[in-house]
Amino acid sequence: MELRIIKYKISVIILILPFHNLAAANNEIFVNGFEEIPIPIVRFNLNDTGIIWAGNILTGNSSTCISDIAADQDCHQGRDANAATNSNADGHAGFSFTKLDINGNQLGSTATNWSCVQDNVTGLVWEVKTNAAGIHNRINTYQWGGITAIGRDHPARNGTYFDPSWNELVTNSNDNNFCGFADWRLPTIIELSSIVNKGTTTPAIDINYFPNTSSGIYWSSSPMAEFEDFARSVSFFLGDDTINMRNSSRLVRLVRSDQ
Amino acid sequence: MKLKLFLLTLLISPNLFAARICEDYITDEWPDHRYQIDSVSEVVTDMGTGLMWKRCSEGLSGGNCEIGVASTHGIGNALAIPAAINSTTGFAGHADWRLPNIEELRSIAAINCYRPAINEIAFPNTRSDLFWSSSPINFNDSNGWNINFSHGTDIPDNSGFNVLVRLVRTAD
Repeated sequence: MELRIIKYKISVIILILPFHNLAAANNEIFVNGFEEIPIPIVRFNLNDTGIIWAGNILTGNSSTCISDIAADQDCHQGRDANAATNSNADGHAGFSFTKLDINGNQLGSTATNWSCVQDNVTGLVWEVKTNAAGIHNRINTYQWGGITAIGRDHPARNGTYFDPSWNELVTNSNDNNFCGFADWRLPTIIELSSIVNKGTTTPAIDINYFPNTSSGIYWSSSPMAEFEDFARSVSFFLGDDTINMRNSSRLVRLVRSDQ
Repeated sequence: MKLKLFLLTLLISPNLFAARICEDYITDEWPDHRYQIDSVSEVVTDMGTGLMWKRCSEGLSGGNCEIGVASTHGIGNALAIPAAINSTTGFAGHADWRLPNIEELRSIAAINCYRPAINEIAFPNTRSDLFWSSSPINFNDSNGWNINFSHGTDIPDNSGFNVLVRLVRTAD
């Protein structure tokens, strides 16, 4: 009799288990023992694109925001088009940057020696690459998947997470309190795209704030969902997001945020 | 793992043809609770960016965007769509609709998933295909920026190409 009850209990558990898995597939309860805590949605601001000129219907870009398209387009809208926010004094058009020294002190826009840039729209703080030898050097490249790569510590991760990758850069920046912060990491593809100035190319970024930027490919922390041998990156040659083999050696720029 | 997720997705999906696949190991920054849905007015507000979107691609309507056929347009016509709506009836009580710029459009690409890379509760019946942004392209003056919602990547496309359209406005 007791054995029967135990059998019954086991069969109930077995019946419930598949539903548990379904919930996991919906990202709601457990994934391989990992509790999925719902991410609180915090209001955040997007950067504008940096595009302050108009395109034509079929071919040709204008040098101004007037073209043969009567309707409004990118250059008519957002921070880049707003006189209150599009001053070039704090970065191209709608971008608003503040230079920080290696201890995190804010500097004036004409400062000639700075280590990080604070983005006043998104709230992100970015590493500035240098010509000097060392971990922040502009030509250092890394295979994808080091510390802070998304999914690196998840038991159900796909594909290879290479080491040593950018581990030394992240660890030393945090240990040294680089620019006053100890939470440096690789940016997601959305974050990395946010500092692309799509109004220009080679490189597609405001070099007055981000000197020593290569027109090459910079890794994001974001994997490519369908293709586990790939991760996401931004080519600052044209400013488009690209996918690259994780085993290829690419540039990086660290970021940190309050969340 | 992928196969398991794929089979599970098939099991729980009411529509076998809309088998979006998601990877648990990639952070889901686009969960359902990020989106405030008004299925009657057919708009959704992104609590992250503060942008209000039409839930349906142009050409589609209904609470599940199940009515009609998704329409495609060259960039000139695509930019004229919100202008026409704003100067006539408006939509959902608003007359400030526009085509999103490339960064706004990227913000709804849920890259933890693919085919399509978007939250389908917020944006039902979204094709895994190209959508126009309002952003022209610097390096090729006959191109504009698209997001391909198959994987959520940006891509230059010829301005004359007929591509899907989704409208946005800055919420109050």
